[in-house]
Amino acid sequence: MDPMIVVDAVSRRYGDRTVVDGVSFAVPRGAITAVVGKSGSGKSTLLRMINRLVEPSAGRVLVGGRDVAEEPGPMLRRRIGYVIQGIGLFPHRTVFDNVATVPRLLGWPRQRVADRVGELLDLLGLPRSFGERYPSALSGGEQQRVGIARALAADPPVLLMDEPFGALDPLIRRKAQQDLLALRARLGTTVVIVTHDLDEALRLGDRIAVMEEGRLLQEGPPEELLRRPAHPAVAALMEGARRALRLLALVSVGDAAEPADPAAVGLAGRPRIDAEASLEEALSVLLWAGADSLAVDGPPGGPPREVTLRAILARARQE
Amino acid sequence: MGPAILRLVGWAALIAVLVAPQVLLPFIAPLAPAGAPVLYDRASLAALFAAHAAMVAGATVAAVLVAVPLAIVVTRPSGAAYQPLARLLVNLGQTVPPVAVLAITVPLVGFGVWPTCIALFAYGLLPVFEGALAGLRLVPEDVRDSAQGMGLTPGQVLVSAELPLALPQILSGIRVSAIVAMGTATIGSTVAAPGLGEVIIAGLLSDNAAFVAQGGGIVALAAVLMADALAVLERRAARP
Amino acid sequence: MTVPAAGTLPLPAARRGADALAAVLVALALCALCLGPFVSLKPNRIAEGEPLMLWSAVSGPAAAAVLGLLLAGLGALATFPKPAVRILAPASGLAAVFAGVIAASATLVPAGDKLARVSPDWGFWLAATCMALALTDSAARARPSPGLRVLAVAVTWLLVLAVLQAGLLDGLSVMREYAVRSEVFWREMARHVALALGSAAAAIALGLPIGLAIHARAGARDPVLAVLTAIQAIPSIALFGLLMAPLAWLAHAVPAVGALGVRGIGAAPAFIALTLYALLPIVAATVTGLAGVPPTAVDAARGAGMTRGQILRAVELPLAFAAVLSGVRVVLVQTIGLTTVAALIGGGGLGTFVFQGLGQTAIDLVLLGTLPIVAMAVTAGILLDAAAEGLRWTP
Repeated sequence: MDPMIVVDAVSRRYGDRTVVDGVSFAVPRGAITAVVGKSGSGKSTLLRMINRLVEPSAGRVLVGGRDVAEEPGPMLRRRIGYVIQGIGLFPHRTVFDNVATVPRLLGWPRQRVADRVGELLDLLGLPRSFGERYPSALSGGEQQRVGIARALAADPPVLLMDEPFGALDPLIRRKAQQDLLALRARLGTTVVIVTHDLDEALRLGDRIAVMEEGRLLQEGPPEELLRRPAHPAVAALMEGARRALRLLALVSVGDAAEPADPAAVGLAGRPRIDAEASLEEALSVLLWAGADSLAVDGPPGGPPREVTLRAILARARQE
Repeated sequence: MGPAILRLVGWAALIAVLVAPQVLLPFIAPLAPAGAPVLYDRASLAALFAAHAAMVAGATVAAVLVAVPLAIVVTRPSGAAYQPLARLLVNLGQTVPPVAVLAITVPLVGFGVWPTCIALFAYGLLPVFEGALAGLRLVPEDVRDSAQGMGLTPGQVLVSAELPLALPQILSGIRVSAIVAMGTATIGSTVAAPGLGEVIIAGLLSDNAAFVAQGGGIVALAAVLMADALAVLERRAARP
Repeated sequence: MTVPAAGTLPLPAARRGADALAAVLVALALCALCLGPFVSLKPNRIAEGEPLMLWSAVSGPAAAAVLGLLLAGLGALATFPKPAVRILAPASGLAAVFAGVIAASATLVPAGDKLARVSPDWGFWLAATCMALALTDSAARARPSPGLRVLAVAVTWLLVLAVLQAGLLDGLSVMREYAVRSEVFWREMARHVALALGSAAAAIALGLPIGLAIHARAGARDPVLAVLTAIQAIPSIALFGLLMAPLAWLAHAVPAVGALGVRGIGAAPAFIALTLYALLPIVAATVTGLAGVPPTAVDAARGAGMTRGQILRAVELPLAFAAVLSGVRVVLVQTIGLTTVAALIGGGGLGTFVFQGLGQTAIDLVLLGTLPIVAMAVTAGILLDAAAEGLRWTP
């Protein structure tokens, strides 16, 4: 299948300063690509060239197979969701009006808009009564969810996010990241998310793009960047020492579990771990318990399984 | 560099015009009606400017001496109740047009400098008061807190912490007040106060635009230069 | 440490101060009435006035009633320091002294005598001012809603106009001056309002687009604001005066303009000058208002696919509205006052009476011009403040 977004040799210059330098990559349909880099690496500018809030100095961007330069900016952006760190809710409009922004711009009939807003509030776990409230009455986390609802209101195939969770405190941030993954699973949206937080990128990204000083250093699945960094800066970013743990964090227990003797699995007092947990957590439990295997819980009705230290170590080893 | 050069040119021009008014001749000669004098000759422009500036300075200083302590009083916990009243009184000073204040005070204090100064004083209270109020209100709570925690008396807190922090806003208020006073003082000449208003009114009465331009131009130039100088002070006060 | 019983806790200092304030002002008013002359009686315009104390100016019972009402108010304030009392006491006191003036004007001026006149003297002025201040302060503390404030202003105007229309104050020296020149008065009043409102409207019509155009471009914004500030530095009479010659020339050179009534003197230079003076507050307010719009909201609006025009209408202007409205308020109050000077160059307006009174040392003529101006400026201020509060979008 054709990739949803194609970035083709895109550059952006301001005078003699090159902020984005010949970046090319593609984002498959329904995938999440996380663009990571330090501040000043050009990642935000790159993102904003996808919906043409910034015009490229060179190169082109294709969304859904069409060159974004072909249509007027405002029309293009009504088909692309956009979420920023500051959220940018309209303070003088209710939550309902905020979420209804793009559908109304597209001229949807009243009833359809109302239904859609209700749907989105439900989808993002916000009570429908919030529709009447103003942004200033909401907490940071709630505002953030309204921002995402607004971005998804017209059911865009593409969602662009620029440090969307940066302003949230750590506990809420984790929940917000999980919610995003659930949303993507449900809606199949293609997402490009810019972040300076590597853990967030590894947690969310199906693919990761590392940028430094305007250039794309490497782009690919997280495991590839961890195992085979193409550039010392990428290796440094992946923090050599914690690489193995990061790799383990990418794999769920369920994927590494092996069939086991039912009697052994059911033994009382045996340390257990849920199939949804990551191998990194499993390792931690194993070390704490001083055991060399854990019984695996779930999925319900499935065969008895266990995950062993040996299997975990095999996954963590350098290839 | 640009603003500094403009400033220099401005001051040079002002001094030149006051010391040797003839430099104006080529510019304003076309404005005077045929046969009429081009340069105001009934008094020296420099003397008039001095009298004008003195009135403005006096009234502004008086306004500061009243408005700033007033603002201090109403920002103290014991004086907070009087803030609306203080605001009301100060606003009243600006609601009555200066001409009217002049006309009302003349029967009481006579013609000349005094009614003009009273009018300028009343009109100039509001900007200084509001500036001082805004400045004192902006002082962060932590600063007051830590100063008191260090053992400073309320008076010392005021002088060493609050006033220095409020200074830029106070200066901003003084700047507005002084600019307005420079222009308003010209009206004082309708009650025989010495000043550049005399030149303007003589021009209005004898249909001599050259007089009007001289008087108005010097006042405007002086007002702009003074505002600029006060703005520089303000910026210095804001950078501790 | 035992907790003091409820009801014996000392009032917070602020409340105590407010209660004391109203009482002090009413007490001061009482002193003024007892110590100073209430009115002055003049048999005609130019004779010396004879100062009269309250009890000499009105009948015994009437004087007792006025003083009694004030004393009662003072007593009430001392014993029941409640917000309602703080409003009613000065209000009734104010009504009482005004009634006193009406009574004086009726008592002292013989029926049919058109020349004798009564002027309020400093006893009245001080008392009335103290109580007006107390009333305004207490009323403001009660935080009336915008609608209530507008209603209060409307009721006050109706009351004043009713009293004037009924001729109850005809014996007052101000009204005597009015009686002699009532037609001229209304003509100048109309001119004043037209000049003030017209130039304010012109400034808004010009200033808003200018503010919109320059707010985003620092290169344009600073020079434009500097020029407008420089205009403010020009003394009003000078600007009026300087516009006269070019306008005279224009009326001469372009007959169509002259036919419109534009001449070197009169309303035209005044109108242009007033508009120029009003530009800075509007432009500055617009720029400040637009600068206060959160940039994230504008970015999100662009990202959502709004065009420039849609962003302006739906996001920037509504959020800048409060600041712009405060600019309009400044402009209106400023222009109403500044129009007074227009009289000096033949522009008409209530300033005519002020300058005439100045020339003739006739303070009543000055008051004839000043009182309506102050009343209009205060009314405009209150109405616009109420509008700003009422129209704000905050929940």
